[in-house]
Amino acid sequence: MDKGPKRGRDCCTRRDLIIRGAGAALAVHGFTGCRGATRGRTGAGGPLSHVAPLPENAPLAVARSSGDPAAAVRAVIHGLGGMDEFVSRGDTVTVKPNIGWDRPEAMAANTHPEVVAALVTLCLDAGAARVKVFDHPCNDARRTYRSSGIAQAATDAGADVFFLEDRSLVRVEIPDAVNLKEADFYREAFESDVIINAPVAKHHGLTRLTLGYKNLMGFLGPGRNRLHQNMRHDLVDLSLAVRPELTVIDAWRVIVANGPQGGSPADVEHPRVVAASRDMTAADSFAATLFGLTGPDIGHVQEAADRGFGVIDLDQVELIEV
Amino acid sequence: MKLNTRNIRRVVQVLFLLAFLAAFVVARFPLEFRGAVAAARLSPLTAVTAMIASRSFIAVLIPGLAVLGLSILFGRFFCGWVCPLGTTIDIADTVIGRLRKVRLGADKRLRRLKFAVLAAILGFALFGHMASGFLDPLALYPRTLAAAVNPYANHLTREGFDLLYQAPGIHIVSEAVYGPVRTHLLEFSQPWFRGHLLIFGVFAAILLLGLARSRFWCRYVCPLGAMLSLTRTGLLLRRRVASGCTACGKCRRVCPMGAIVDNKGTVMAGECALCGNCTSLCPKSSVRFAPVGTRGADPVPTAAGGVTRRAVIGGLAAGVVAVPAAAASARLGIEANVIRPPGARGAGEFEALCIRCGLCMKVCLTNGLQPLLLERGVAGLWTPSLEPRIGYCEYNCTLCGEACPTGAIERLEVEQKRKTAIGYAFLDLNRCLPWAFGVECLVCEEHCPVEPRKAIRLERAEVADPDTGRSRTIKRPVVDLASCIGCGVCENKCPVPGPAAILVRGADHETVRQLHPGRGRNRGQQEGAG
Repeated sequence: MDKGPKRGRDCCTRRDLIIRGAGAALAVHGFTGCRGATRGRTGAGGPLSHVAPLPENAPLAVARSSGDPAAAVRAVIHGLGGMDEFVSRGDTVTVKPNIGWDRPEAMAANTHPEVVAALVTLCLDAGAARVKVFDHPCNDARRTYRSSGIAQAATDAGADVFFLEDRSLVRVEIPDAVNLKEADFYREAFESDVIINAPVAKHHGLTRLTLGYKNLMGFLGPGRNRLHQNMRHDLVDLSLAVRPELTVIDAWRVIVANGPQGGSPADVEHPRVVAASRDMTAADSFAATLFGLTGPDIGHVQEAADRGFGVIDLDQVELIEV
Repeated sequence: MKLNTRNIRRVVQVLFLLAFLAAFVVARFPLEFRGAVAAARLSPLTAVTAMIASRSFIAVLIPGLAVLGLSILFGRFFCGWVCPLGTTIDIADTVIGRLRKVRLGADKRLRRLKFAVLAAILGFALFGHMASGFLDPLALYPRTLAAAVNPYANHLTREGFDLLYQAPGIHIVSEAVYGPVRTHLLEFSQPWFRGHLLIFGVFAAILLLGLARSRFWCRYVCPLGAMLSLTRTGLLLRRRVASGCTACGKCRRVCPMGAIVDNKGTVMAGECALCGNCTSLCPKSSVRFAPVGTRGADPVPTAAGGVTRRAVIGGLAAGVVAVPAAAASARLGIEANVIRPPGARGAGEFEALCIRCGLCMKVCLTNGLQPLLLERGVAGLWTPSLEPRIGYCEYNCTLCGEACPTGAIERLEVEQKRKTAIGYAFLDLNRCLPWAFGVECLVCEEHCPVEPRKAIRLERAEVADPDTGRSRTIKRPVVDLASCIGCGVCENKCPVPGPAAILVRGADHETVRQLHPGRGRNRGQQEGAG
């Protein structure tokens, strides 16, 4: 059973207290919406951002039909040099799956729970002090965490699974953004040493596919429905505030129509593929091919490449089949 | 504390109240424990009124008949030992007691009022309307908790812990406490309910009546009390005053129900709540309750109770006169957008069964079920209606039907619920971003949960840029009336500020399906990949 909702924060630091105190002052002045809303700017080293270094010539590991999802995950991580390449002893790691929709596991609306569990286990084996698993679901969070099977699987693997609360919302400015100049994030997005992005690949009515970039929307608070009007730019802007160290795309079972929730088992196919890379653009570009598309067919992935965030041309990516 | 009837009663009262409150708090997802639902079913008033109004035997309300049966045997013990409102009133009376001037006269006529209320309710029920829920303690109490007390308590608790979090040092302790409080006591998210002030106001007024008399509500107003008082002291018990009585009048003074009418200990029939104050506080220990047939021919003084022909006829008349008023309100309120929860029976039946207990609203995952005010007249007051902008109906959830004590909302299996329409969605083409402004959005389509294919489809359209004249293709939503179930998630998530650009209109399932009989859906062209 998933643990009850927790506070979702590491032990407070003095910095936290000061920020919170400022927030309380704002609250007293009738600042509704974000509780104790602090403002922050992105940029390396800022307290309210988590931006992994841009990958250079990052390889892409791909596992096909490796027995079970957990084995596929282990294989791709091994292909990239092992989890030690990403997680150091004592690190706090966030594994960010897609826990978006109140659908049972077989409907492929969320990341496969065994993929999540495998990642959690690998992080703990690599010496992580704490592995956090959470998301901001579209449906009721209690139902979604349960129906997806992810809360149970992650907890069993030793992760710290919790719900996000409105009290941890912060407004973050993204000055280098083209369109999304500011957004409300849950501060847990910025409270770990490593972020492993673990999306499930699937069809989406608006963006055609939802993959790694789109999965980052789970860090956003209410009001993220405002991104849909300019998704191409907004998703890339989002990655200016949160860029994961590693993206592991779950394409074990995928929705090919009526996404991102799915509508029937007939919409689910089983490529049995898991792909991983530091380069989120390359990973998304590869995943598109599983649906008969290419990276450039996905507007925001092309936009990311145009802005220099990763490689979209798969001919230029070192592909490691595992 | 001495072991006497009075003290045992007080302990039992508190235990019942705590049990009631605990059952209420845990009445939420996943609703494995349904004590709160069972508690609402204990009311004989609900049972009798619902069965009359719906002209059917409602098996789940048998507990209410059982309580009535026990009361016939033992008298009005429910009021004195079990009723959560009674216990709360006793506590409130103790607190505000010092402000009260004790007047011992002229209350006999006021006693008739509750019988008039009861008669009005029953008269109303004869015509198929269910009005017991307004004043039945076992509906009023959870309603007050759900709509007012619980949201207030949640808000204050969260704010309180947030404040403590600011305090250096204290926060370590407060955060440690906050975790379990958050998990076990607080709602998952802060609920709010329309009309909460009125609901709370009624409850507060009932408690404030203690300024005039102790147990004012129980003596003069409560229709459940009226029904139970018809059982008098019950068939199996007799109240006895022994010869040691010195007519000191102490019993008269300590009786919270004011049921003792003279210093000899004569009690008004049907007004004794068996609280045990008189037996436990009599300085000569001359008062006892003994089973019928106990030897020793002590005198059994009783006085006539408050039931009079005039009160009953007056009440019935009031109830009957209210019937056309209720019918008028329902018809005149036809424009109002009321979205009943899935499983709700048809309009007439629903109004014959809903006791306005608020449990469906309490358990609703999204806080979407809200109490109606006067949209459907007084007959609809505090009955549930979905407000999609506040909360939508979660596709796989059936909690409201599971929480309804009377079956006004039927329990549906998930598969059936998913196919049950409670309304239909329609687009406001003047506000929808793609339709009115050529801006792609499609949040509604993304969120539509309907299986096997969404009830919002995407069509492609050419729009011309007003500045450059260049045309481009955008996708925009269209509602499929053959499959829309009116769950409201589209309206809830629509990013257009103010009223949403896609709105749900409440209607029953048959009406929605008649709007578009459905052509036998073919999959047609799929959007996107694959």
